[in-house]
Amino acid sequence: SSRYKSTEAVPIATAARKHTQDYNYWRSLQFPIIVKEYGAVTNVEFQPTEPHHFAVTASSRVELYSKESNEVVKTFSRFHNTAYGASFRSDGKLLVAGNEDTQVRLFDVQGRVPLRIFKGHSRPVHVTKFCNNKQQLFSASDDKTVRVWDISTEQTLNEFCGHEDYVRCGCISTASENTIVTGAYDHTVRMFDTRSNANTITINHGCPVESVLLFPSGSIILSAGGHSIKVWDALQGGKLLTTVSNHHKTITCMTFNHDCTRLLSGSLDRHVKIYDVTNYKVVHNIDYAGSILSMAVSPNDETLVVGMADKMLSIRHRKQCNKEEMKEENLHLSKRKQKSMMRGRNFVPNKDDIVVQHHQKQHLAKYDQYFRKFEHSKALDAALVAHVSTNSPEITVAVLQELIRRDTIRASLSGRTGNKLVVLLKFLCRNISNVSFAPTLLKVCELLLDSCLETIENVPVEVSHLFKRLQNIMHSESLLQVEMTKLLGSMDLILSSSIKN
Amino acid sequence: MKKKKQCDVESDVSLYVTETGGSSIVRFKSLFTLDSKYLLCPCGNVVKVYSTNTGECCQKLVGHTDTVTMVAHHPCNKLQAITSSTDGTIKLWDYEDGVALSSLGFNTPLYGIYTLPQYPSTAFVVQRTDKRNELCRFKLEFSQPKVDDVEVVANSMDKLTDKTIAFSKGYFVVAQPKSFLVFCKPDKVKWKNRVRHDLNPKEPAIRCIACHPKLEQCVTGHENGELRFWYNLSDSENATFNVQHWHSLPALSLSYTSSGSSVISGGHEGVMVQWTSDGKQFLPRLGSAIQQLTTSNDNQLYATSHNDNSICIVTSYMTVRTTIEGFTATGQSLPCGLNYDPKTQSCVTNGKAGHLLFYFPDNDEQLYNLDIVSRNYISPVDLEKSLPHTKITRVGFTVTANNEHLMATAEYDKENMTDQKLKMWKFDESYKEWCLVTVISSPHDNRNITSLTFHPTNALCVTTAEDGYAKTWTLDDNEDVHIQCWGWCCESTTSYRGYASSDSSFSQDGSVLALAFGHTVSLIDPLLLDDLSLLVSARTNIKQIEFGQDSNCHLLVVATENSLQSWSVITSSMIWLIDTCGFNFLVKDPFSDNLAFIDTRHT
Repeated sequence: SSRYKSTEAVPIATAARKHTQDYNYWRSLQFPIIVKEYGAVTNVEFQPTEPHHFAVTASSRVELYSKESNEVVKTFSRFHNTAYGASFRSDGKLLVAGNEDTQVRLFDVQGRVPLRIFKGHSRPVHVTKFCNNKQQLFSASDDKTVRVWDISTEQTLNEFCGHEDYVRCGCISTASENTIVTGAYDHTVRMFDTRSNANTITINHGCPVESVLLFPSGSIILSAGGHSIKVWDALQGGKLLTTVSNHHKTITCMTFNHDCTRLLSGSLDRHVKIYDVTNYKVVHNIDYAGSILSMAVSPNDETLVVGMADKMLSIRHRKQCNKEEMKEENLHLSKRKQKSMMRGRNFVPNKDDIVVQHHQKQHLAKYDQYFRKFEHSKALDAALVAHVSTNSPEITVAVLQELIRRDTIRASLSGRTGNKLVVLLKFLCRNISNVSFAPTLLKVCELLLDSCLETIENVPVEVSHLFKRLQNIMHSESLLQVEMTKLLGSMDLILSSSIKN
Repeated sequence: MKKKKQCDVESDVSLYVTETGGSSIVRFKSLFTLDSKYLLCPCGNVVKVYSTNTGECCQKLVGHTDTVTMVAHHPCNKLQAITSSTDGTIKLWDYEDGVALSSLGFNTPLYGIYTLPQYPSTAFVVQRTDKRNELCRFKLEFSQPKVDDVEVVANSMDKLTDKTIAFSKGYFVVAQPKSFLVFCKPDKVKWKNRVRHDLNPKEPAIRCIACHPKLEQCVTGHENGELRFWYNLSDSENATFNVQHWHSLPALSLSYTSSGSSVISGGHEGVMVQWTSDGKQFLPRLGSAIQQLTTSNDNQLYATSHNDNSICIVTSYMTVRTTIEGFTATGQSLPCGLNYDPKTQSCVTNGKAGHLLFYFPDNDEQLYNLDIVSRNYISPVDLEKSLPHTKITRVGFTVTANNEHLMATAEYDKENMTDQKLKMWKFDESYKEWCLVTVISSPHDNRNITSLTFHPTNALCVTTAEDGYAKTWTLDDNEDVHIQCWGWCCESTTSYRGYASSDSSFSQDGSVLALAFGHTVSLIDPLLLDDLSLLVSARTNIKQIEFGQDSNCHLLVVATENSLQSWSVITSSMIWLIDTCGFNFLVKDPFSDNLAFIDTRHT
């Protein structure tokens, strides 16, 4: 109990970001690698199998990037016009892409020449995806139709004509082989069944639908369009579960993370927002330089690739595990130091040994050491040292407060000349307008002026300049306060009148 | 709710004081037993026997009818002690068994008893006659009930206390502010041979004196803090002294160690100083001013008695072995009042400066002092002007539905108008101690917090203050998925026409929160924060409000300066009104549906 209680500084309240698990997880993505593409990057997709290359659809080509080297390993350029929606088969061996020229082309990932060309659409094809059975694929086109193709014969198996506007997005249910969900600019999301050739569910999103997603269970549909994402329950015939609206421009793309516990959405407002799928609350936000058109997350969330409208492709890799770095850091410690640090750590006393606790010496900051010896003026000097007063002004204020409490502030402020006075005045100038410090610092100012009053005429030029500066700061602060009070008054007026109405 | 007017109380139920506890254990000098196992402390009408190892109270010597003033060893029997009391008797005790063996009557109040092992049949008492203290010698014989032949050794002395009388082998000294007398025993009959040493009138007055256990040396403590070591005492002409000065404030207490090799001194600084021939050693930050110093017979232990009613047992290595605490809150105002802690079922009030005291009133036992403010005790530079300490102004307790014990404290430094803090504590079951969860600085813009109330079941706390706002505080339910930081934050602020908010009260089930603003009471739903209704209740400002319990839980009792009213919150109408004379406070019994109202008539 006779321990010295060190001076307690009130930490400055900041609207600091809470370091949640999600924050740390997504913050560990490194600085983005930016690649310039030939056109707006409309689609990005990862190869589902090793080596997890990603296909980037931009302008009239589909490029295959290596995740490791961030360089193009292969280019598919046999398109007559702009290519759209390049997508891998689940075994990662085949790639399909739509085209402005209405044809859908199928490539071997190893090869260069299209293996199959599916002709039948009358308008550009924006969406192409493989079906679950690997033998079929579907395409959605601006001619308002969705077609299912047989790969081996190049024949149309189904043609769905429900949509009334361009079909711009679609996905396959992983739970059932026969379900296709598409979204169109006619504001609807439609679920088609390839067996009955029927439109089983129609959902009205309310805006042109830019992206649809299905949970792996196949029962919940996510649709994005306009500023909102809507969640629908397919098992209840398309009942709206929730609406999430966190972007302020059109949402263009959505994707899940590797285990479908987080949903990522990209928007023209240049943000990627990450949601928890249990409650659809935003857990993290990533900013980009351009309007986002497409986005993909690699298996294991190792890499986040974002395509933007200004022809930029951003690749962010996750920082490698910290353990290795720690090891390296430990190596930096010299062996001798390690030895001394570890000495006796693993010593186990015998049964009959009397253990005498090592008396840990209390570590005190410099100003506390002076306070303990009642050397108040020196304590103030120690608290005004540059690195304390600039990095943590709250400590200096706490020391001043302690001096006021001990009723020794007058004595420790008086007799300051030259540099000591300059340091104190500079500190006051810097911090007096801080709201939380103001009560203490105003008091200190008063006392300082009292003690300097007699010698104020023959102080050095530097000191008198600082006094002038302090005066100016106080003056502008009081003007500001007047303005603020005015503002508060007018706000009160508005608020009270709105309450009455 | 039972309407209890003052007259009813006087006629039907008579309230009487059952026990008075919490006497000072530091007012009079304590005594180590000869084996150093126990410390005997006069405490009110009893002597408490504390173990010097654990600080536990082992025995109470009950028998005196008035204040016990001093304890002395029996000159022959090691296991017996003699006490003097203001009831005019000295008693012989077996302190291990706690039995009074015999008693000797004097006609006057006694303020001290001194025995000498060399002269077993002689003892000295300090008795008070005509507002003067006299030092008297008498024959120590417990065979008779009364003492007849009392020989006055020193009289007409002012301030004859245990600090200004010191006994040694074969001589004793009595100090006056400007002089001291040395009494020697040349022939075996009379103690009349005395030597007087005078101080220069300009020299600082003597405050305390101690003499060497074997040699003819003594040390005096002076009001400017200096110590004078006197030699050659029996020679009035050639007595010499040397001056040592460390204390900046008056030296309050002095003692030689039993071997005589060193002197310990204490004063207002709260620092125990040990003076040896080599120099001095310090034991700083003992908590508050040292009133009394006692040394043990085996040279191993010292006891320092402090102003805050605690005694530190210090080893000769200058480490605190244990602390004995009496009821700390003696003689100071209690801004946070008396509170009930459901965790320890103790009474909680202000303790040491910046501490909360947990106290069992049933057996006059103190649980602990909890440091809330966490500031060092600084002795004042000037005794006239004491340093303002940050005081704990409000405290509240609750047990939440999931059995967490929570406490909130409000502290404020009134003098400097700073340091207003609201601290939220939680009882940690694994460490068995209160741990600080959140510190909210300046919750009410440095205006006085008038009340602090917890919701009966939820982690919800309401503070009202003179700035006109009532604020509700809740444990932060983080918006994020991963709750990492966990703390209290402000949920809402309520005000009504800028009136100062004086009190708040939750209904028993916690569904209604009543807030007093000026002369009105506002009822709100504490969870949904909806305004429910407004009771305009009085012409004068409301002092306190309190909800009823159980069958009266719909009633709200409102106390103003001159009336006591009961309102039904269901019908928003007044049930009854009593005119009172002055308001002091209103207390709810948590276990019955009674309320106590204390007016200013008798206080």
